[in-house]
Amino acid sequence: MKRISQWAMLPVLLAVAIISLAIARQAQPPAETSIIVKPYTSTGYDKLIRSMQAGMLPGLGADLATLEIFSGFYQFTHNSKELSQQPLRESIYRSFVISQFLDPQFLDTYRLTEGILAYGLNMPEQAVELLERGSQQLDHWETPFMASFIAYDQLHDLDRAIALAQLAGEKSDVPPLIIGYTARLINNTLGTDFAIKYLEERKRRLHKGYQQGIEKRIIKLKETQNAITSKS
Amino acid sequence: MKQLIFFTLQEVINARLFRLMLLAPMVLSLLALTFTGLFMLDLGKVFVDSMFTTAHILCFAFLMFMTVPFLARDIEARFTYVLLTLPINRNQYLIGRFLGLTMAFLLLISALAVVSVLSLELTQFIWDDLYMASANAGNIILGIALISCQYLSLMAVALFVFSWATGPAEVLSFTFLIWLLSWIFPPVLTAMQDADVAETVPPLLQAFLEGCYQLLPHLTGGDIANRLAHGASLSGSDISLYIAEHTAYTVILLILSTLLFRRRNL
Amino acid sequence: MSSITITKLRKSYSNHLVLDDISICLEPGKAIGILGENGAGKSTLIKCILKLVRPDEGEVSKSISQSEIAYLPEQSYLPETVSGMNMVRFAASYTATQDEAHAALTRVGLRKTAWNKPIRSYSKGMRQRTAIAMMLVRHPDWLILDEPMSGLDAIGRRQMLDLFLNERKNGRSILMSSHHVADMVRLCDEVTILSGGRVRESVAIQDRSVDEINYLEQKLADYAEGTE
Repeated sequence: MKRISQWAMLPVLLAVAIISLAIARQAQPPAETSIIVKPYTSTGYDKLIRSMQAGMLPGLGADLATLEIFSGFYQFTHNSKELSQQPLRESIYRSFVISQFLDPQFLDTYRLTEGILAYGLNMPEQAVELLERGSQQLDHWETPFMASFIAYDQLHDLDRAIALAQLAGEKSDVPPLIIGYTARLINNTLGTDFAIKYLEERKRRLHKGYQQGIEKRIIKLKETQNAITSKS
Repeated sequence: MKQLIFFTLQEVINARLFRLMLLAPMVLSLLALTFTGLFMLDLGKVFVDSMFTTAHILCFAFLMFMTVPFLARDIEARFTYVLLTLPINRNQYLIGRFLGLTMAFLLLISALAVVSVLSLELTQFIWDDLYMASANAGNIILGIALISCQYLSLMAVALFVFSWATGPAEVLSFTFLIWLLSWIFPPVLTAMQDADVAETVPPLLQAFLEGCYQLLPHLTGGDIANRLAHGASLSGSDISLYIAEHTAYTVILLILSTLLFRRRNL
Repeated sequence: MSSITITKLRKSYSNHLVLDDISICLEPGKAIGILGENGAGKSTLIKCILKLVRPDEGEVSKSISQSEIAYLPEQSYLPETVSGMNMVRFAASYTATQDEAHAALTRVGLRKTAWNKPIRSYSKGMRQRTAIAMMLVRHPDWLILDEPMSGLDAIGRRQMLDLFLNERKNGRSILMSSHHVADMVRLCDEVTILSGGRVRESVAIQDRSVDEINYLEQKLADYAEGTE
C-alpha cells in the first residue's frame, strides 16, 4: 500500500510542477528581444574559426552559413527594435562572407546576395563586392551581371557597372541580352563609338547562333549615330 | 592470418552497434534529403555535401565506437593472450586484426555508397534536374571512397597507438586527438592563405603549424569534397596520388606498429 | 614431446622485482604445479614461457613450437558477439578439422543448445569450458593453465579438475599455476613453490592425501610470511 501511494504521488507531483511552471511563465513579462547576435569579431578570425569547425566539410559549412542568413534575415524583418538592427545586419553579412569563403562556387550564396544583402539589408556596396569576388570563381554570367546591375541601380557607379558587365560578357554561357545591356551602359557613358567597338569585339568571339542578335544592335547603334551626326 | 581476418570480420559484423551502423545510412540519407530541401538553387551540391557529411559521421563512428574499443578490449580484457598463444605471431595478429576491421569498414562504406546512389535516384522524383545538375552518382561514390581512404589512415593511427598503449583510455584519447588535429589542420592552413586570416595568425605559428601538419595524415578532403559536390571531375592522376598518399601513410604506420608491438610486454 | 627449460630468469616491473633468478626444468609427460601466494610471480613466469613478456635476464628455451602449446589465461576473455562453436572453430582452423571442434565442445561438457548462441549469453563456467575446448581442439602437447579454477564454484572446480585429470591420462603435459593447494595436490605430480619471485622448493606429490595438502599449505604460509 505504501509503495502504491509513493508511485501515485509521482504523476501528481509532476502535474503540479508543470502547472506551476506554466503559471510562472505567464506571469513574467515578455522578453525584450529574443535575438541572439554574435559579438563583433574580425572577419579573419571568423573565417579561421568557421574553417576549423567545418574541417573537411567546407561545403556543409557554407550550407549552414546560408541557413544562418535565412534565420538572421527572418529575425531582421520581424524585429521592430531599431537598436538591434545594425549588429544583426553585420552578423548576417558575416554569414554571407563565411559562406562564400568556405564554398566560393555555391550559387545560393550569390542568389541571396542579390536579394537580401543588396536590397533587404540595404548593403549594396558589400553585395557588389561579394558578387565581384564570386565572379572570379564562377564561369557564370549571372553573378557579374547582377553585380553590375546593383552597381548601376543602387550605387550609381557607372564605371564599375560597365567593368562588371564586361566581365559578364566574357563568361562562356553569356546570352546576347547581357551583351546588349553592356553596350547600352557603354553608350550612355563612353559614347556610341565605344559601344559599337565593344559589340563588334564580342560578336567576333560569340557563337555563330548568337551573332545575329549582336549584329542587329550594331546596326541600330550605327543608325542612331548617323542620325545624330546628320542632325548636327 | 586469413583465419584471424575472417574471425575479426565475423566478430565485428555480429556486434549490434555495427548492425546499427549498417542501417544508419538509410536514416541519414533521409535527413540529407530533408536538409537539401531547405535550399534554393544548388540543390545538387547541398545533397552531395550532405552525403559526404553522412560518410564522415559513419566513418568517425566506426573509428571511435568500433575500432578503438575493439582494439582497446584486446589489451584490457587480455584477448591478446588468447590469440597470441594460437599459432599466430605478433605481426600476424596486428595485421590480421587491422585487415579484419578494414573489411568490416569497407562493408559499411559499400552500404553507404549504395544508399547514396539510391537516394540520388529518389531526388529525380522530388526536384527538377536543373537544380540537381551538379550531383552525379560517380562523384558521390568517388567522394565516399576518398573519405574512406582518409579514415583508413586514421584506423592505422588507432592501431599505432594500440601497439604501445596500456589501456583503452590512451587509445581513445590519442586517436581522438589525432583525428581532431587532422580535421582542423588542413582547413586552417588553407584559410591562412586568405589575407584576412593571415593578419590574425602570427608567422611563427604558421610555420609551426606547417611543420606539424607533415606528421599527420593529410586529410585534404575538404577541397576535393567541394569540387566533387559542384560536379567537377578529378583527374586520374590526382585520385591515384591521393590514394597512394594515404596507402603509404597507412603502411608506414602498420610497419611502425609491428615494430613497437613486437618489443612490447603484454 | 619436449621439455621447457627456464634458466636464471629475472624480471622487474618499474623497479619492482617480480622474478628473481628462476631456474626450472619442466619435464614433459607430467603435471607440474606452480604454487604461490598472490603476487608471487606465477603469472609473470607463465607469460615469460609464452613469450608474452620479455625477461630482463635469463632465457626460456623450449624445443616445441607455438602450435604444441595451449594456454588458458586467468579470466580469459572471449568476444561476446561470436558463438562458442565459432570460437572453437577459429581455434581449430589452424591445426584441426571442424568435426574435431564438435568433439572438443562435447568433451568439455558444453551443452549442445548453447553451441551456436553468442558468448554474451554464457555463464562463467560455460565460458571457461569454451576456452578449454579451444585449447583441446588443437591437440597440444602442453596445457598451460593460469589459475584455471578462479571464479568457479565447488561443482565447477570439480568438473574442471576431472577434465584436466582426463587430459593428463591422455598423455598431455600440464603446467598449472594456482594459489589453491588442494587443486594442485589432486592434479599435479610435482609442485614448485614460488614466493617473492623466487623458487623456494619443489615437492613431489606422493599420495595426494590431506597431509600433503596441509604440508604444502604450511610451507606456502611460511614462505609468504618470510619465516622460512
